[in-house]
Amino acid sequence: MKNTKVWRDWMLPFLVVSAAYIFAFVITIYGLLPLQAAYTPDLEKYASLLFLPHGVRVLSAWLLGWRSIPLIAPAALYTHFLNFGADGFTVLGSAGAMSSVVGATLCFWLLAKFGMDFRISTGRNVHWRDVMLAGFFASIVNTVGMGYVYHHSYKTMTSYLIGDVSGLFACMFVLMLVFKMLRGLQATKLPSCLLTY
Amino acid sequence: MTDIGKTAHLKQLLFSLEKDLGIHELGTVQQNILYAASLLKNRDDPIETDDIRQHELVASVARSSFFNALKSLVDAGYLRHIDGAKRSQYVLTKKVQDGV
Repeated sequence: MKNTKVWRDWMLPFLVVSAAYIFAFVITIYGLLPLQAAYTPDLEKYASLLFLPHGVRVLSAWLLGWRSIPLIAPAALYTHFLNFGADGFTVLGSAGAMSSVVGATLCFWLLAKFGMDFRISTGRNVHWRDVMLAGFFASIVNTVGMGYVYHHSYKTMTSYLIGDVSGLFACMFVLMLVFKMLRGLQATKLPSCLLTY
Repeated sequence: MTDIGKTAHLKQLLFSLEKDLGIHELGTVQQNILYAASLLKNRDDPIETDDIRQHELVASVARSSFFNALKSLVDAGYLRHIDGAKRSQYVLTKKVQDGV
């Protein structure tokens, strides 16, 4: 029983979140960034204008709360290593990487303190724009953290901010399409005996 | 919160995006279920599934289509299932009053 709980509460979310984060990272870095570089050669090569992993970070923070921090940290640190190599793991570099991991959960918590509690644990219906707002503030935390560590220019930091917000929207949009497609499939294929009311 | 509860919240969140983008649509069966439920509604009393099912607006709908549509309306936040009732019951949510 205890093993089942560990699997359900930690192992499975860890596998799903890590896979989603690394997949989003690979799509962003190896798929979208080369395209972007062709049209915006003056931007830093790592400053994506559509950074999908931010969507994974924010949605994980929304769904899992504080648990998302240890669950997403390994994948986030691994991708940080892919971006910056071993040089990215100075004390400041690690702090910069962790700002992106902690930022989303922290922002949901801070917004709750200011009367805007969008956390799933409240059981309230949350609008997608609420999550976008939390994601925007999380991006500010992330951008300021990385900007402080790597002394990025304002242009690069603005790229981070745009990339994070657009990445979050893109993630939700893709998920929405997936759920819409699944609804369509269920409506046409599921036999009525599987529906229990 | 259970995994099902989280999935329901995620679906509701994504449905709000779908609606704002204008690509959400209620099918004829879904609309008729909401109309039937609205007509059957007596103040805040729950509405029994059997009563909706037998309403003339949806009586001709196939059983599987009816329950699929009912489920999608719950997922979309138009109807709320009453837990613990002896018979399957629903109430209309505030979302219905805001307009379908």
